[in-house]
Amino acid sequence: MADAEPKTNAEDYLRMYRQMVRIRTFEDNANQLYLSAKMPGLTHMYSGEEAIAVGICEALTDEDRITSTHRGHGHCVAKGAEFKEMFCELLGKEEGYCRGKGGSMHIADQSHGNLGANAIVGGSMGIATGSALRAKLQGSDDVTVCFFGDGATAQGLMYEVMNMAALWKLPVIYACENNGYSEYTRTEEIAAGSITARAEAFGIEAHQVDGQDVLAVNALTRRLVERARRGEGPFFMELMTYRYHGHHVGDINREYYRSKDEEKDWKENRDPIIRFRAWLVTEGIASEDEIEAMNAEIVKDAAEAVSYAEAAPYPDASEVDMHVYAD
Amino acid sequence: MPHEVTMPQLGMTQDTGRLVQWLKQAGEKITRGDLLFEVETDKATMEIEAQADGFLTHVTAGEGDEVPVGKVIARISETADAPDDDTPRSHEPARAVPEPAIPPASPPATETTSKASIEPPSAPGRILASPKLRRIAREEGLDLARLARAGHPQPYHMRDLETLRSLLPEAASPAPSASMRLRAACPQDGFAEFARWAADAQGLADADALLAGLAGASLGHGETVVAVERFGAMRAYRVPRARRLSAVTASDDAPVLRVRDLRGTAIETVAIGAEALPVLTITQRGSALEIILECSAGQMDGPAAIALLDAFASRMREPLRHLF
Amino acid sequence: MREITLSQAVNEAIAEEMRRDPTVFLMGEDVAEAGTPFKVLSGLVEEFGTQRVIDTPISEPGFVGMAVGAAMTGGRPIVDLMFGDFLYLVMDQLCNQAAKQHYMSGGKLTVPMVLRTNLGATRRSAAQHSQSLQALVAHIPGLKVALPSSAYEAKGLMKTAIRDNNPVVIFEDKLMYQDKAPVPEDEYLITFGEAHIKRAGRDITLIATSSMVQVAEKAAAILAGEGIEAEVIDPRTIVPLDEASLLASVRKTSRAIVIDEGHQSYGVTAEIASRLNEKAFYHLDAPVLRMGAMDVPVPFSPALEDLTVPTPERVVEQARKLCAGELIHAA
Repeated sequence: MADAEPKTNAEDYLRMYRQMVRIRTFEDNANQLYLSAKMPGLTHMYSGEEAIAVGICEALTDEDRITSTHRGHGHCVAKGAEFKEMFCELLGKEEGYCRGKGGSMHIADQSHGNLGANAIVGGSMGIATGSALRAKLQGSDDVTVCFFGDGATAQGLMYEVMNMAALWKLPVIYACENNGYSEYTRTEEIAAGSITARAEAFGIEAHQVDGQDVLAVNALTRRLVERARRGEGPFFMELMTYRYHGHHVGDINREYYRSKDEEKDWKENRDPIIRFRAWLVTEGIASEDEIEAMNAEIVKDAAEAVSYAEAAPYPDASEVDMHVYAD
Repeated sequence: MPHEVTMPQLGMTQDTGRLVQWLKQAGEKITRGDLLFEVETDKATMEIEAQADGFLTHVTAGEGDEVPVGKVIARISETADAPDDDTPRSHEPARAVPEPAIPPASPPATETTSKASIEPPSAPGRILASPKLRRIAREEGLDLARLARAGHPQPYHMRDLETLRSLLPEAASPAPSASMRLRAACPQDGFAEFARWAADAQGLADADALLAGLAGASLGHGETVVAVERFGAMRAYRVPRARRLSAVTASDDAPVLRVRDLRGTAIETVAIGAEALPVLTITQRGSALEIILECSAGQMDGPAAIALLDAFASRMREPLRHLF
Repeated sequence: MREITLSQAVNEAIAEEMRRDPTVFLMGEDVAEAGTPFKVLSGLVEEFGTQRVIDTPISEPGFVGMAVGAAMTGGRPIVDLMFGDFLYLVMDQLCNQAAKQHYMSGGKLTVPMVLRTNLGATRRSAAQHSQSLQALVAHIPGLKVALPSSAYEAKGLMKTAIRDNNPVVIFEDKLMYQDKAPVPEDEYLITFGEAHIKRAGRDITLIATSSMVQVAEKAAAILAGEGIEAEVIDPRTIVPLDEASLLASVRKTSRAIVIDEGHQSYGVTAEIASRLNEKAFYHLDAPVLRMGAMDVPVPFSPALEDLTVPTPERVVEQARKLCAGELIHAA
């Protein structure tokens, strides 16, 4: 593990662990809902990338904003969302965060500063940068983190908004989750040169970090957030990670683009939760028993939330043309 | 030629039937004998069979609608997408009165003078007219085919309305082939006693208003204006949708139907031919009343004429029924 | 009443709203010192500074996307899109992002932004600087669309747009910037979804948008000389659309021509004509006609370009036919 920040707050570490397990557990349940045909549509699993969402969001406050992606459940949980409202949203129920109108790919949680997942790859980069522009214009010290994948680095919008963010020194952090695959294609096949160098070309300070190390991600993010609050932004992070599932839950047979051995290696040797758990035990922050108890509680919470969501009512038909326009 | 599906009459005193549900959908293939729709009368609910093979088209009555007996509610056509023709009678071959889908339990006291007498006018093809003119013409009981027969170039617009109205007197002496004449009979004392009772007990002394009210209600399409002619004098009455004869009032509006009351004259029957409006002529023959309906096919189709005359004859026989 | 140009009216509206509400700001290409190529925004940067009148790079998707994000988090941006033709560049940000946020979030997020741009041919600007693309955005639920027809509307609609909590696209006709009209000095707003009867008449309704209102008014004047009284109605916003006023007029006159400078096929005229047909059919004495721009890319040559847009003469010709009951497009 990277050097931790002063080990004064065991609670922070346990919360980070807990949030990573909550994400993994949420995704396991979402996958089951999909496989058992209980969930409409499809979804994109965040499993394997938990250290990024948690490492970053644990460095933010509720006033700080994030924009999320189609692979957005992890960001949503990490930014403070509740299981019940999330599962309700995934199942299209009225009590979902978006009253069932957004679903997995548009889940948003305004109360914790999550401006929403986005089903257009790279589609939220303007929104994140605009949020930062608003902060600067209004003299507010909140920071916006823009999550996106390596695939989105191929979108022109990214370069337009990074240019403006750099010109106007906006408090935005671009967090590129590089999981090695742009949908069904290896990133090397779609990205020329260096990804961080692209940000550097605009004069944006860029870092590459191990996205499987939650403490490393958290430490870097806290430093960058503090500096962004002081007007030293924008910043760019390339977080090296891996997605355990396919591009989406239905992407089962994927050996034509990546091997099972490769997946096994990441899961067994670089899993962010296993690594962090071992560190917590070694450092004496938690015992194995305490961790098992925490895991079991999360599993139970998730199961209850799923049952609740399954029984929850769908929105009334009268909702269909509600919220097209704001009052 | 499409087969017309009409609201059947299931009892002598029935004016309307409520369409409970269609058992076939528009566009669906129909075989003669298929259960087509369900009708509720004051007595019973019945499933009605299709009387022809083809496809169900031109469905004009919806579930829950109260439909006058004899009114066309759909067609069974040769194809599922048979074209709409606003003036179907103008190019359908002549035929006798269309049969109701189910023959009435006992035949109504109606007859037609001859098959030829209800042959439709022979204006060629579809008449081109604006939607607004069509609507006004329908409301005023005017036949756009008159303009065509008079040689006016199509299409017709509102600017042609005055011309159409002015054609009416000329059309009062129509080609015999355009005329329908239907006859019904009923005892004379039913209405006479009712009129006395209405005058004495209810203060409704104007027997013409009563006649207008019964005739207007027999049209079965809501508020209307009916004229009553006696000894050459004519008075028009507005007949409200509600069945309250006390609410029938004198009116200056153009009538859509005329009742010619020849009771008390020596005339036993009439055969004048179609006039500007459908005319119900009442004559006395011994202790019976004869009621003649004369109209043109452009004013009213066969089933509608039958429905009107039968409804009016039923009311003249037992006017009290009208109130309930 | 004083008369000011459409350009001054827009400028006044924005300045008044920026004074009233500190969250309102302007961004776009050359909006500050340059005041846009049409000089509509001149002077604003002097009053409000470069913090609130922001020159952007030539990055339309980028700055429209940023306006969406600013609007979602408490700002009220007015984005200047230099030519309506550039809408094609920003369709994802406008139609996938701005238009849908409120609905997708179940009503939790709002996007109070204004995108002001322009329309109109016959400026000899050829195919990529002359289009009238209001139908594109009017098709997208979640966007409101305003089409001012004079300086008076331009000011009132702009002020309403800035206060609206939804993304609003305003199209100004770039040939009308110097046209003057009476504009009150006192503050006023124009409610969206309220059509304005520009001229009353009994024989035919001319429904026209933006600069086509002038075309319709000129046509009505000519028709009046022939005894045909045309009613001219300006919907002012096409989303929301004041259907009731349009229907009431057509029920009175029984005839209608709908005129808009967008391409005729699948356009604003088609939508309005269709609603009249559906809801006033039995009051129509003639088919409702559409008059839009020809379905061709806008040509450069003046000899060709002038053929592509509706003119008063062409409107008169069609109105005459309708009122005379001539057979139009009959099979």
